[in-house]
Formats: sequence, structure tokens, C-alpha cells
Amino acid sequence: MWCRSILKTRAVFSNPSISTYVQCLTINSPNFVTLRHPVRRSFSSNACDYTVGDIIDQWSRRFENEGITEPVESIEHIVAHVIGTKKIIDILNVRNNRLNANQIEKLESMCECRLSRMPVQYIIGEWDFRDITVKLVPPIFIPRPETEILVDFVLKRLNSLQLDSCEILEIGCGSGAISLALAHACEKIKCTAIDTSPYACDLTIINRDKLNLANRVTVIHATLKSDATVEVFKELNGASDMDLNLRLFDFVVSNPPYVPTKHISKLQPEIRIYEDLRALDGGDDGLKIIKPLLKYTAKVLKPGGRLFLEVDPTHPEYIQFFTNKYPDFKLHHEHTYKDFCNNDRFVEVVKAA
Amino acid sequence: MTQIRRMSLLIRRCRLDNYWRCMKLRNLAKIRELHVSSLINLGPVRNFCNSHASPNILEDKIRRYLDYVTKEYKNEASKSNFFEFIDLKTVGHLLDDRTHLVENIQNLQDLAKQDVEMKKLAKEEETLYKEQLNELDERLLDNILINICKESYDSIIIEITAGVGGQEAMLFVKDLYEMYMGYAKYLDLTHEVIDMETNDNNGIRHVSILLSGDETYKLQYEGGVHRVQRIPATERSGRVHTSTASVAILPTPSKVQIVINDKDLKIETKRASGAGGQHVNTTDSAVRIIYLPSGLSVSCQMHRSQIKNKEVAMIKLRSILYEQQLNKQTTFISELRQKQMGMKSRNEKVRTYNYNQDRVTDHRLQNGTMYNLPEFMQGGVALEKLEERLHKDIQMKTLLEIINKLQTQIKY
Repeated sequence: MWCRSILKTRAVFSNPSISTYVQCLTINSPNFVTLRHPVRRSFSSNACDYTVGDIIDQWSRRFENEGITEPVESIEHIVAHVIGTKKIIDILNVRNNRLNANQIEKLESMCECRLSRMPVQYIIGEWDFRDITVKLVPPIFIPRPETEILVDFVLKRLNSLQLDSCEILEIGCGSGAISLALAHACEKIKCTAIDTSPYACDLTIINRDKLNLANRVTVIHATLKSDATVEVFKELNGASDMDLNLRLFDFVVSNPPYVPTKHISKLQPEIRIYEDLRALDGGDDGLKIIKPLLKYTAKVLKPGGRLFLEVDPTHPEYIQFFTNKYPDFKLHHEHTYKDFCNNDRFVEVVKAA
Repeated sequence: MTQIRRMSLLIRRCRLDNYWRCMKLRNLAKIRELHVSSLINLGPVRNFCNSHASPNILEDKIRRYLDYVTKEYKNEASKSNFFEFIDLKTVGHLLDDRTHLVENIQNLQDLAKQDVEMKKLAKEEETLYKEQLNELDERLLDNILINICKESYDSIIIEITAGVGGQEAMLFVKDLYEMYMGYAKYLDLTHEVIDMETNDNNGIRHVSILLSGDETYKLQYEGGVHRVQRIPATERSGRVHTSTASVAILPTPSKVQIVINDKDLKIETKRASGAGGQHVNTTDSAVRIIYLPSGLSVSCQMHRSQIKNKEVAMIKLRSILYEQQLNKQTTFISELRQKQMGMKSRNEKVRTYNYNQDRVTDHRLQNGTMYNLPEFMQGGVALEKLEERLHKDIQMKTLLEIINKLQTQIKY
């Protein structure tokens, strides 16, 4: 399905570079995607003569002319990646340097991808999430900065409860950012991360192994069904068999799809074309996943356990209504937190003891 | 002598209670072991003081001060708060030894008075004891000095800003920046550039570096105006220019030292418009924090992670508030601290780098000239040695202030 969504772009963008990219995406499974660079068609015939500063100026102007969002940042991140750094500021020291032919070839094919509106995070294949760097491969959902704050709230709560150990279930792990950031930040945490997409699970495992967190993060290919049960397809750890409908957890964390379907068509092309829309599309009211998630959580949380959710600003009100309407679930809406932009973004729900 | 006069003037200006508070403050800081081996060979008093005033007066002063300390220590009832900055655990037995020695000398002198024949013998023994006393005094002084001007911060922010001299000043900022980066590597500090503004000419207008590690205190005397004299790369007619760059060292206070209420903060990101969350995908992770009570704003866009940018911005904000808070205090403590941290001397010329003469001169020290500029600019052992000298110099100056202070209060 995700392939199909990308393949659509071939019709939209008849760009040789992006089609090369898409071909290699469809041939390989997403874990093994490497950027296969198209035959070099120099943007400027004698690109080797330009300094890094010139290249940035030229490409940012071209991006701007072609209506690419964040023209300057895009080329800066691409240049930083090509010269092997994560920080844009490091470019300042090399503005007068020249790139070698290999670097220029790489840079130009990456810029072609950007011209096709591919998100920068996919082009350079990684992004930072809190203290960790996660590998990112299309179409697995790119972690958003808001979600970093969600992790903050979980860690703060963990601290204030002074638990000796903490079992956390993450529903819909994508690239694994939340679980891995949590486990990386605190030794006490053990995470179980599930995702309905096998590719997302594979990517989470790659990221997990890079961070040496295999002993504390379990990845399971499983799906949350609309009847509020979880069906396990395959446990990817090789560990003991587990029925996720019986186990109990201290916390449940999730950044579920919450964009109402009617808004999907209005999203920026970077998201609409390249990201797996199943990670975003929350149905008519954006609550398609959140409702069964609340019910399922009520079953698997220990008494006094907590659920942390990232949601659309219109949802906290519904969640409050839901917990009041179904007292049998013993859920209680504890708090709604705001993100940096003052939107009601995060919800904390407690299961009664 | 003028220095002494100036110092005593300074002391007269300060009030007593502040001084005690200062000692308390200092004791709160962790004890840090200092390398003082060089002091054991040379008379510390002479070693320290020849740059300030004639040694005899000072030696006498310190001797009398130590006498006083011993007396107070023996006289346990009067455990005055003035011991607060002396670590009795390490110094206690030294003070006991000293009491014995002084008693012995006293006994010998008494003995010599009684018996003429014993006098010669006693004299010999007395010189022996006096040597021991000198040695003991040196160790005592070392131990007392350790606790003076001892500052420990987990991390500091070093800010280098171009001063007069246009392009050339910015090139010099780059040189200084490279020197401090080299120094940070040499000291094994973790370093992170949190803000940088460059110009087209490969120079740097302004840069802030966050340094953390055990030895950040080895940069505490770098604050001030650094002057460069050389023929700039941009100069065609070969004239020597003088340009400046100012360096500020901002210790980053802990969350306890500077408490910031979340309600006083306005946090801005570029994502502010629109629905945010899953609706948006941007790479812009810049964070700007406005501190509402004073309208102060700090920003950071160094990291790809927004929350890390926020953390860095908060560190910056806390440092600035801390500095403002220190500058507001016009007390003895802050005067001392400002001197230690080089905060007050932001506008004070501290060092000259002369490329033609291949020398660096630190104006705070007598004999502060060093040669081999290229080595110095690498920020290695040469800079470390200079920092150590500055540290000892300022420790001694501070001790003398304390002694003078005591003298005016208590006649001993």
C-alpha cells in the first residue's frame, strides 16, 4: 500500500531522479533502501568550481523558485549530510571549501529528491529525536518535535512516582523514536513496541540495535483491532510467546493516527506523498484508533497505571467525555498538556487503583 | 606599596557581614584538590607576593594571621564563623602541630633566659624548630588557599565577540575560538557551539560555546578584553593594526540557583502557525524563549531536536539571569566573585597577543609575558599554566584582602 502511494507520485512528478529513487524503494524492502543516485546531470556544468557557500546560495534560490518549503534549511541539511555532520552550524566553517566530485554527485541527486518534495528527513535518511538519532526510511512516519515533549511528560511522571521499574507498551511505534528515547533516557524502563506495519517494526529493530537497547525494547508485529484487542502476527524478538491481551503494563504510550480524513488531502505534499498515511489518518473524526485504544488500554494497564497520548487539539474534550461515560473502564482523565504552540496536545489518563 | 594602599581602600569600602556570607558561600562549594607542589620548594609567601608588595611586610602579615588562626583554634570556645572557610578536617592537625611548635619555641626561650649555658644549645634547637615552623606555615597556607577562590561549575558558556577593528577583529575572534576549542580538547571538556555568527571573510562576529567537564574552572580567568597586534591578512600596505575581542565567561547555574517559573516564559517555535503535530512536517527546530518579566529573549537552533534546542536556550537564559543577578549585588561578595570570574573585567584589557614579537602578555601578572605565540594559540599546556598562575595570584590577593579585613576588625 505504501508503495502504491509513492508510485502515484511518478505520475505527478515526471522527474527521472525521483523515479529512480522510487524504483529502488519498490524493489527493496524499506530497511535496505540506499540512495541510488541517478546518472549525474549537473545542475551547474562546472559545479566543482563552486564553494559550499555558492552551492547553498544557488540551490536555495532554485528551491525557492520551485516553491519548495524551507528552501535554505533544506539545502543546508543536505550539505551538512554530504560533508558528514549533523549540525548546520558546522557548515559555517567550510563555506569557502569546495566539494569533491563524489560529494557533488550525491548532493545533486539529493536535491533532485527535494525538488520532488521528498521530506529532508527521508533524503538524509535520519533525524534527531531528543538525545537519539533515528534512521528514517520512507514511508515510515517521521517523528514530530511535539512528540519529544510527550516523552518528557512520561519521564517526569516516572520520576514523580519513583517506580523501581517500569513496563511500557507503545502502540504504533513507527521508527521506534518514543520507545527508544524512553529506554535510552532511563535504565528502569522496559518497552514493548508494537506496530501494524512490518516495515515499521523492522525499522524500529534497526534503530534499537544501533542504540544497543535490544535487552530492554521488545518489538512485536501486532495490530490493534477495532474490537479493542491486539492480534500478534509475529514476535520479532524470538522471546517467549506473549498474549498482549493478558499482560499488564505500568504505562501505555502512543502517538496514534489522529488527523481527520477530510484534512488528509490538504496536508503538505511531503506528508501526503511520502509518509504512510495509515500512520496519520484517524478516520472521520480522527478518533478511529483512539477509541479502541482507550478500551484496550483499560484492560492492560495495572491499577494506577497511566496512558499518555498525543492527540489533535480537539480530542482531549472527547477523551474526558469518554472516561466519564464509561465508568466501567475505571479510566480517569488526569491532565491535558499543551505543546510549545499552546495547543492542547497531550492527554494523561489514569486507571483507578 | 601603592597596591597595598589601594587594597586597603577597597577593604574599607566593604562591610563585614557580607564578608562572612561570602565565606559561607564558598564553603558550600565542593572541595577541590589543587596542585600546589610548586609551593613546597619555594617559600610560598615570597613566591606569591613579590608581585604585590615587599615580601617582608606580607610575610609578617601572614605569620601574624596564622598565629591568630592557631590561637583561635586552640581556644575552642571562640569557634568563630571565621573558620568556615578553613577546612578543619585537613587543617586541624596542622594547627595542633603548630601549637606544639610554638609552645616548644616558647619553652626554649624561657629555658634560655634561666640558664646561660643552655642558651647556646637552645638557640640551635630553636632554629631547627623555626625551620619546622616555616615549613608547617607553608603547608597551612596551602591548605587555606585551596579553599579560597574555589569555584566549581559543571559547565560554563564562553562568549567571544569581536570588538574594535572590523574584519581583522573578526578574524581574531576566529583565532581565539580555535584556541579555546583546542584548550577544551586538551582539558577533555565536552564542548558544543551553541551560537555563531560569521561574516563573509571567514571571520566570526560572535560565538558562544558551552563547555562542561571537571576542569571548566581552568577557563575562569579568560574573561576580559583580548587585544591583538599584527599585520592583518586584509591589510595591503603592511601596517600593524591593533584590534580587540571581548571574552565573557558565564558560569551556568544549576536549576536550584536560578529558579525560573514556567509562567514567566513564552516559548516560540516556527511551527506556531497551523495545526501542528502530525499535520506538519518541517525541519525547522529553532526555539526562542522570551523571559516575560524583563523581555529578555534567547534562542537556539543548533540541534535538529527541538527539545534539545529548548534545553540549550534555557541554559543560556539561566546564565544571563545569573550574571544579571550577580551584577546587581554591589557587595563585597560580588566584588570578590566578579574578580574571580572575570565578570567585572569584561571591559578590562587582560591580555595582548603580539604576532610580530611572537609574544603573549597577560596584564594582570607581573612578568606576564610569554613567547612562542603559535604554541599558545593552540590552547594547550601554555594556556593551562597561565591559568594556574592567574589562579594563584588571585588566591593570594584575596587572602591578603581577608587578612587586611581581619586586621581592621580585630586587633590581633
